[in-house]
Amino acid sequence: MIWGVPLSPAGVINGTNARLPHFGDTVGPGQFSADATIDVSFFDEQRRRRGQTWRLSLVCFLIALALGLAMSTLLGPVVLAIAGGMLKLAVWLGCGNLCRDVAHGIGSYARDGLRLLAVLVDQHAKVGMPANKLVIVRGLAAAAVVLLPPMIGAALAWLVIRRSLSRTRMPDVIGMTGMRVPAPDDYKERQLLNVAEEIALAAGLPTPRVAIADSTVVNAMVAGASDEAATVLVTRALLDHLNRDQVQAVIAHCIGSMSNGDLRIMHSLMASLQTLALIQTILDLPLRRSAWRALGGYLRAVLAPQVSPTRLREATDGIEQSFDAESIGPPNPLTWPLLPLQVLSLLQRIVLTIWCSLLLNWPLALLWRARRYLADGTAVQLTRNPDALAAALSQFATHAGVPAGGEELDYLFMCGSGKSKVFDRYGFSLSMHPPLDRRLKRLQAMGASRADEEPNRRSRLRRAVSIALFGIIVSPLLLIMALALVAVIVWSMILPVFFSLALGLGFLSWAFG
Amino acid sequence: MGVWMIGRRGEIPATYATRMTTLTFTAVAALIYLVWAFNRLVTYRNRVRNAWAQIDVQLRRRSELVPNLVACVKGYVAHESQVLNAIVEIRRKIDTAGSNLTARIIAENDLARSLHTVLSTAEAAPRLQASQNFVVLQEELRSTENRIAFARQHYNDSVMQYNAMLSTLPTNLVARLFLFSPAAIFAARDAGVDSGSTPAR
Repeated sequence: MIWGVPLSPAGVINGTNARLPHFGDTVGPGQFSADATIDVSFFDEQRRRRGQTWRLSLVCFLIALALGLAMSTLLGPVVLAIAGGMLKLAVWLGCGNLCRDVAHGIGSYARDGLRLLAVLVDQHAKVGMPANKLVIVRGLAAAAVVLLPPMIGAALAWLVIRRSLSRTRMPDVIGMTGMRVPAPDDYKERQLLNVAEEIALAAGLPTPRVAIADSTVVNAMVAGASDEAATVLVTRALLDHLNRDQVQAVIAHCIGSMSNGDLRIMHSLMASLQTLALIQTILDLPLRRSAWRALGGYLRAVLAPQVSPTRLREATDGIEQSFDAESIGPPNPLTWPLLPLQVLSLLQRIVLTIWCSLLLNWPLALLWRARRYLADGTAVQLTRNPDALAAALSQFATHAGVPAGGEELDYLFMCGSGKSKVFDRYGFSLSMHPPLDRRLKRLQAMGASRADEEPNRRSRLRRAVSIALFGIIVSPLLLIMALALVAVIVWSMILPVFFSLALGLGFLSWAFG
Repeated sequence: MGVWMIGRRGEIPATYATRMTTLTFTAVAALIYLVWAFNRLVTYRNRVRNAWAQIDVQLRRRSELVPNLVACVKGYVAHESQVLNAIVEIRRKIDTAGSNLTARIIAENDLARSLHTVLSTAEAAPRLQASQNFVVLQEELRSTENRIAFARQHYNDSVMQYNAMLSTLPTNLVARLFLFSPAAIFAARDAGVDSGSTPAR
C-alpha cells in the first residue's frame, strides 16, 4: 500500500494498451491522470472488502441462528404435538403398540425438556442470571429435543429453496421486464456485445448473455443461476449516455460481481427469507384458506423439475403475503377454537418483525453494500481504468433509476433508486446500495482522478473536531438506545418462550397423555 | 476418544495406541493436504495455459479481420495501396509461420504497426469515415485490440497467482515435489507480441 505517494503518469497509456502488472506490483497500473494518487491498490481494496464480507456473514449467520432458536421455542411444541397426534391416530387406527411406545417415549422426554426449560426461564426471569451454570447446560440439552425438529426442518427447507433458486434460468425474466436481445446491426449494441466479450476475457469467464431493456433510466445489473448461466442487463439509455470506456467499466462491475459470487450470496439470502415466510405460512394454515393456496403453489414451484422465474416469483409472493397485516383478515368464528394458535402466529410475527427490523437488517445491508464496493474494486482490476468507472458513476448520479418491472430486483442493480419491495416487506428499509459519493471516493483512492475537489486539511480537522464533539454529546443517548435494544431483544425471546411453554405443555399433555 | 477407552481397558498399552493414532491422523491429514494442494496447483496451471491459448485465439481473430479491412478501405485510399498490399503479405506470413514462434512474433508486430498506419490514413479520408461499413470495422478492430490486451492481462494475472503459489509456503513444497515450474510473465511494450515467453510447462 502506498499512502499518499503520487504516482507519476505512467507514460501514454490508453485503455486498450494498459501496462501489464508484474509480479510484486503493489499498485494497479492503468489509466492514471496527472492529478491522481493511489492510496489503496485494487488488490488491497478487494482483500479488505472480502474480509468485511466474511465478518458480516458470520454476524448474519449468528443472528439467523438466534432467530431460529427464538422461532423454534414457539414452533417446537407445535411440531411435537402434531407428531404425537399423528402417532395417536396411528394407534387408534390399530398400528400396534410400537407407535404408542414411541409416542410415550417422545412425550415423556419432551415434557422433561420443557419442564427444565421452564425452570431455566423461571430462574432467569427471577434472578437475572441463573445461580447454577449447570442448570443452563442441562436445560439446553434437554430443550434441544424440543428445539431441534423445527430447526432441522428449517435448515432442510433452506437447502431445497436455495437449490430451486439457483436452478431457475434467467431468460424468462427477459420477457417479464420487457428486455430484449441486443441487435447486432445497431452500432451501440454491437459495441456492447464486444465489450461484454472483452471483459469476460479479462475475467477469464465464459461470456454472459447480454440483454437490453428499452428504458430511459441509466442502470445495469447481473442476475442468473450461476457464473455459467448469468445475464447482464443494460438499459438502452446507458448505451446512449455513456461512452465506450464507461460502458466497459459498468460491464466490468457486473461481471466482477458475478465472478465474486454475489449471485450465490443472494440466493442464500433469499432462501433464508423465504424459509421464514414458509414457516409463517405453515403456521397460518388452519387460520386462513389463502395460506393453503399459497403453500400449494409454492411447493409446486419449488419441487417442479423445471420452473420459470415468473412462476417462482408469483409463488414466493404468495407465501410472503403471510407477513402482511392484511393477511390476518376479519375474525372468523370457525377459527375461535384455535385461539392459542392464533396468538402463537401473532407472536411469531412480532418476533420476526422485531428481529428483522432491529437486528438483521443492519448487517445484511452492510454486507450487500460491501459486495458493491468489492465489485467496484474488481471492475478496476479488470479494466485498469478507475477513471472510466468514476465517470460512469457520475452519469448514474443524474440519470439512474430502476427500469419498469425491475423494482423487485432493485438490489441487483448497480445503482439503486429507491427501496426494494421484497426487503421492505421484511422490515429492511436500509439502503442496499452505497452512496455514490462514497463509491467515487473509494475509486479515487484506487487511482481515479480527483479533478473536482482538493482535499482541504483545515476543513478536515474542523470536521474531525465537530464529529468528536457530536459523539461526546450523543454517546449517552446511544448507550440508552443500545440498552433499550438489548431489553427489547431479551423480551422478544423470553415472552414467547413463556407463552410457548404454557401452550406446549398443554398440547403435549393432550397429544401424549 | 477411542484411544482413551482402549487405554482404560488396558488391553493395549496406552502410549502405543496413542502414538499409532497420532501417526495415522497426521498421515491422513498430510495426504489430504497433498491432494488438495496438488489439485489447486493443477487448476491454476491450467488457468495459465488457457489464458495463453486465449491470447492466440485473439491474435488469430485480428488477422482474420484483415481481408475485410482491405476490401472496405481499398476504394477510398487507392494511393496507399502499397500499405494494403503489405498488410495482406504480413497476414500470409502469419499463416505460414505456424509454430515458428519468432517469425510469428515479428509478423504480429508488423501487423499491429501496419493496422495503425491504415487506420490513421483512413481517418484522413472523410468519405471513409462516413461509411457505415468502415465505422463498424473500426469498432471490430478496436475490440480486437482490447481483447488482445485483456487476454494478456488475464494471462499475467493468472501467472501472478500461480507463481505466488509456487513461491509461498506451504504450497511451494508440494510444487517442488511434483516439479511444477513457474510461468513467465508476458512483458509487453507495444501493441502486439514482443516477447518470446512461453506458458507454464
